[in-house]
Amino acid sequence: MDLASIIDLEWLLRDEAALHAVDARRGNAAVARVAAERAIPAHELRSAIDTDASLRRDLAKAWLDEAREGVSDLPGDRVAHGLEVAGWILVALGLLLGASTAKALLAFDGKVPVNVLWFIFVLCVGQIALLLLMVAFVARGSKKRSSTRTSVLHRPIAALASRFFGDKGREFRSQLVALRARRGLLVDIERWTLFAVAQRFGLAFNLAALVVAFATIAFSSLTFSWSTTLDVDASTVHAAVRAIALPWFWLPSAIPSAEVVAASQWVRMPGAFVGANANVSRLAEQWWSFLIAGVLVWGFLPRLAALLFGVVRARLAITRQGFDHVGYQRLFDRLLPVDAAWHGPKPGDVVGPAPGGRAVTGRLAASVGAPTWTLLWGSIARQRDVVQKELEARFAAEVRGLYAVGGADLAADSRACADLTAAKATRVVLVASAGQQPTTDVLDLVRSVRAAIGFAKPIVVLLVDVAPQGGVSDAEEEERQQWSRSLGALEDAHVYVAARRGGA
Amino acid sequence: MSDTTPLFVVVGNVNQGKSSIVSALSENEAIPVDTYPGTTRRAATYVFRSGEHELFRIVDTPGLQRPRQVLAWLQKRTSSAAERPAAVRDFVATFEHGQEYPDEVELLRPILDGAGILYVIDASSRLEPSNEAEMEILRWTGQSAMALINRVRDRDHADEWRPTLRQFFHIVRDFDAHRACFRDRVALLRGFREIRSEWSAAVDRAVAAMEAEWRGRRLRSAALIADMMFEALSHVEHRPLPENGNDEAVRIEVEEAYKEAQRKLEVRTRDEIERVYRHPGLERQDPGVDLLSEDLFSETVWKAFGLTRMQLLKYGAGWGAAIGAGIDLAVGGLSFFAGTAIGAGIGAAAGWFGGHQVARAWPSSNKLAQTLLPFETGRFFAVGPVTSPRYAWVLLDRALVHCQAVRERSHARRDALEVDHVTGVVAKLDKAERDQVDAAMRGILTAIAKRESSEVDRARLETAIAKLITD
Repeated sequence: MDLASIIDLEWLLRDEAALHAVDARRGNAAVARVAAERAIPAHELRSAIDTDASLRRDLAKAWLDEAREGVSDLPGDRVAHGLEVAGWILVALGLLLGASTAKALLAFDGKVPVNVLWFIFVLCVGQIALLLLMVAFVARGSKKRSSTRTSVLHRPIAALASRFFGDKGREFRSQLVALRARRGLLVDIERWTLFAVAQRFGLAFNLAALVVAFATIAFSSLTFSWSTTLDVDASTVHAAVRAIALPWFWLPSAIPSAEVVAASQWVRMPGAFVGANANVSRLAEQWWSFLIAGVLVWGFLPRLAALLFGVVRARLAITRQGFDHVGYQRLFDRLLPVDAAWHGPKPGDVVGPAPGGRAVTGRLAASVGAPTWTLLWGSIARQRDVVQKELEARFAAEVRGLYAVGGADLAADSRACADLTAAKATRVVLVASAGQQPTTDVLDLVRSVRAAIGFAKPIVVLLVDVAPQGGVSDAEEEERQQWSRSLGALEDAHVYVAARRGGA
Repeated sequence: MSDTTPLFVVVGNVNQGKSSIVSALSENEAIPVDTYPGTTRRAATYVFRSGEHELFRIVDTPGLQRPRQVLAWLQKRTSSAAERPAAVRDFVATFEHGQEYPDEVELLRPILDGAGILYVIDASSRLEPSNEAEMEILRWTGQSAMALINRVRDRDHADEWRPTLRQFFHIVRDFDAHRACFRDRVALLRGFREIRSEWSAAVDRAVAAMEAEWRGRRLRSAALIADMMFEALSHVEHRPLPENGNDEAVRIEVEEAYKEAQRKLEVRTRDEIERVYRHPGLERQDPGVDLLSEDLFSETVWKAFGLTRMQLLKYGAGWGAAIGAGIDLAVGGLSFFAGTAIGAGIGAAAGWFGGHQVARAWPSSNKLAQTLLPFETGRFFAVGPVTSPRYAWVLLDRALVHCQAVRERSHARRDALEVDHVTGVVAKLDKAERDQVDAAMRGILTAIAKRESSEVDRARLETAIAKLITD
């Protein structure tokens, strides 16, 4: 996983639509690839995806590889390439500035010797100060949280892109904004990547300074001195030189001795060394090795280390990504349907047709005192007295006969129908317990009753619940509707479902 | 399917809730459930797989339409108990291709193939002679069986059923398909071991796989809620200000866009969580009926969810300080930490008096706004990140309540999602748990204001939320 990959992944996972722009078959190929690499069946990946960060990383990378073949115009390579170009521009700038700085600091006209204090101040003390700032920056970044002040770079980049590159620039800017949507989670990658890029400048600067300084020393004859307006004596300068040279204390030839320091003090007026017998060649030898060592130790090597450190931290920041934010969750849910799951037929393959015909909607005409023959379906037959009273009260009916049907004895149903025929029944009420379903069995009975009593005589279905103490309550309206729909299949205009008391 | 794969067939009279039970057990909202008898016309097999392995099978069947006639047919053909299973086979063979008993044939066929029987009754209906005929037929098949007492309606005649059920089935259990949560489903599945002891190990494997999957869902939903909180807390909405334009109009537009973005985040997270729990496309109640559907920024919601005033007083100071610290840092410490101190005071006061401001608004000249929007040049107006602990806790509370409602919702239900309890849960949390969540949220906020990595705090929040999602 590299920076371009992280950027591309964030870009593709930024929303649902972007995720679905990648063909599902490519996802399957990615899953197959990771399963093969890990030598485990693809379906077992699901159970590990919540807990195994390396699996999440591998799968995301495999999916990205596949996605890159199908989706063009991903920003990752462009951003990574842009950073690379910026890095090389910084290298060029560093080389130019380093070389010119060294050249300027070692400028010698053959009359006034090179003042080493300038060289020490710019290329040693200055770099020590920068080094301390860098250590503070790194130390802060090593804490739980790492801070970046990268907005210093962002704003000019955004302004330049918008102003000078037209639509392309604005598009690039909007991409950067989109990628920063998860800024809190990716800030470490951003921080250390920019840190490493910045170190290229420092390294190039010091390399150029070293090469130019060495070349100047090697190919021209320099005389070194130190000179100051301040009231500083040779011993103080020597102490400062020894302090700077501490890292290479084991190399005395590169540390000017006290005599050399004293002998190399220069005064512009009258234009002579303070020590009358200064040995110019010996002064030059001890000073140049000290200056080169100073740039090497306080400039070049720390910057090299910082560059390597930055690269390693950037890589670590990438590899330590959790790959578990909501975008990844969405991706993994898509790639790896849940391992343990139920599978079944399509609903249309099992569902039956809804009851045909019209629902029974007619309303029984009130006919006070009309004779009524009653069929008691199933368990309600045990409550025949209660039911009879209910019928008389509800329909003002004269109950002529009560027959138990729908019981264990199938012949009872036939006998009841025969009795209805014999009695020339003019109105039949079929009473069933609330909760009884309009099964084929019940519908068959209604058909038999119709055959027994003849056409156009009302058959009424009444659904009630009778409590053990004798209280009667209606079935729910939904149950009534359900019966109404099922009885509609009989296509019989004189079959009714009794309305609930107080209902329509 | 191997011989050791448990196979259970759900049988019963029509409209007893067989499909609802299968729907609840198999987490399948697509199984047709309707009130007219005979919704299910063909036996449908639902398979629980872990990878390539079939762990469990359950068959939904059409209801028995004419059990009295079937029993009469069987009785005519037997003279001893030993002949009964063969008589049932004869029945299936005789009517397999006819139109007389299509539902009974569909139902009996898998039983004769060796399935365990789950006989479902609706306790809101009376025990009828036809039910006794059903039970007798099932006894004649010779297969092991369990009776499940379901309740389709409010009436309850379970006591009338039990003595009879116990005569026919040695295991009788209550199972309300519409209220069954994961624990109930697992308990029922474990109960299946009693039907056939040789399937115990296989049932255990299936239950273990389901439990592992359930744990995964908890982690995924915690991650989703943490992600929502992270995005909601850190969101900054901004618009460029037009040259010589109406700044006030832009301010109103940005504030409304900010709220809309927060609402969308909440809806997106709910959708994701519902998908995790296999409730895609769940309907929601109308606002006014259900607090989960009420607008996120309504007074009713802010009263029902979130922390108490005392709790907000405590946390408000911390939040104010966190925002103030961000301001201090943005101005390079020139405020001498006045931001932190003033912020703490304002935060505490807002907590006590119940301020309604969700987030502060910033002009482009503000250092914090510039830090938060590093790519913005020119004049702009920005709102965010969240500065109100009250809002953050309301948002989290609603997410937790929604998540819990989805987790507990049975797949047998076809109505809109609603929550039984009208208040939130966060105010009743253990103090340590609440402190953990608040510290993580504040951490995210502080990190955002200081442009620091908030990954650690997001992970902390996710862990804390995972602990709050319980069965």
